[in-house]
Amino acid sequence: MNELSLKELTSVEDEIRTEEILAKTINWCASQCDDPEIRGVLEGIAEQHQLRVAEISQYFNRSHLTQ
Amino acid sequence: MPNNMDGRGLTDREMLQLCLELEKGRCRSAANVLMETSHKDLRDIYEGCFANAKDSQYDLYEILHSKGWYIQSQATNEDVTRVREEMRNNLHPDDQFM
Repeated sequence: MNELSLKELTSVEDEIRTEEILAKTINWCASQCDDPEIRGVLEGIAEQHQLRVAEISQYFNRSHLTQ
Repeated sequence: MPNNMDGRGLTDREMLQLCLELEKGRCRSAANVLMETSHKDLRDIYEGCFANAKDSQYDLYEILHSKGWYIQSQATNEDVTRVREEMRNNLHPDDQFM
């Protein structure tokens, strides 16, 4: 039984939004950089945040979370 | 509102510093949400979020440090001695502090 409190349910949405905003912001920072090495590092970090978005979303969608 | 920032975008160094601050903030927010979560699977996911932010933060710090853009003063022997003396004077007498 995956019982979820209302607070935890709200946190899922907040965490997805947070990771999404981070991914977009850091990706934008990467696009503004002149140094290709720095650009590559920032793009990689942005991608990691995007993967967290996918991970949280997929878990939430496929699991049978109940309140 | 007029300002004098037109055409003065952020430098690579400023971009790195901005992203470093973002990752530090993410470490704090991920730790906070983790402390407020008892659901096992969600805790595992948030631990992953924290680990990711922590690793990214250190990677960014290392780049800034390697380029001389993040200067830290090293503690001198005198600093170490002073702190050691302060701790020795403030610790319980039964405690051994070498």
